Amino acid sequence: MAYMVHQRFASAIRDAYGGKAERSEIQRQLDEARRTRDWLEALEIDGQLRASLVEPIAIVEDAFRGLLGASRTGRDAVR
Amino acid sequence: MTDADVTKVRSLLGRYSGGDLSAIEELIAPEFFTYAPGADEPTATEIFAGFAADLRAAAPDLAIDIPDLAPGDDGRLHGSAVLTGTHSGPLFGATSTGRDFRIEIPVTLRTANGRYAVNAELAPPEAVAILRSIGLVPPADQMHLPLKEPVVVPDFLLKVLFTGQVADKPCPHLAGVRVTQPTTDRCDDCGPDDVWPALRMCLTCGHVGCCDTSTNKHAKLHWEQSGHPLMRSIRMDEGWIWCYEDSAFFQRRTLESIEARLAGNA
Repeated sequence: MAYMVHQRFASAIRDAYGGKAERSEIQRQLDEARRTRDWLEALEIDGQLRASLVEPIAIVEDAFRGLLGASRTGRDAVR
Repeated sequence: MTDADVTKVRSLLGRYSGGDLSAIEELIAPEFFTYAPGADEPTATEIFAGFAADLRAAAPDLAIDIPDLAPGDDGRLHGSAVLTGTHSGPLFGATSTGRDFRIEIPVTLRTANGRYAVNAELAPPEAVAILRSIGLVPPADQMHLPLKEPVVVPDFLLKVLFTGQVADKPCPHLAGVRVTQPTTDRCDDCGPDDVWPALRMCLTCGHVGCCDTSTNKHAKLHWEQSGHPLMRSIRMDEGWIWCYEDSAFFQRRTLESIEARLAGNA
């Protein structure tokens, strides 16, 4: 359920970038999200706290990955 | 909105905190900011009264106040609702944590025929933190595992949490639903050792895949590969619908109306 609560981030990203942004821009954002997640996952703090930090950025990364996948397949990235 | 409204709201919340559940019915207007219930839909008054009763059962000493409630320049009341108590009973299928809690939620109220429409303003991480604090969501490092308890959160609350709004979003895909009932109770795309917290079913072709919280996210992958945008939850008795393309959430009653339509066409 938490993933779906954070889904609001994914919805906002799709509204802002889907169908409008250049593929290179989506790739750049995806790289940033991935880098941020990697950094958070490497923090040497309590595992539960670390996971709660990673949780929302993983949704952001998923959203940009989905947009990139849609642009590859030609599928409309937004409604 | 005036100081008299502030006094009235705080008085009604005081009555609720003292155990008078009817105060919620006097407080809450039938409509939300963006929710105008249809003839066969529950009013906001009924929805809030139900939540108020559920919360009271889970925390008999629950107290709610909005100590900083004040009229704003926009003609509405603004403040932070503070819920305090001891979580000593089950809530939505989750056993009690036994812990004292203090939850703070920014709210906006507008008046509606002598009662009030309430809008809670919570960012997703704050909402998740609250759900975790009362045991409705597992710790972040256990999200991919099967749930240990039969938690079923009311559809209406899920809609608000998932979309940030109470009104249904438009979704033309609902008209294209072909199947509603699953034929399997596992994710066939997962390996034999994989686990998942919940399963979702595609309403176009009936594909069943593991949910977005799982490690493999096969339901979402199915949408990305097939373009079939609508899925329903088949976890326990859940029947809510999610549209990946429209980011739209529909309560179980939408599924039931679709099933009635399909039965009529058969």
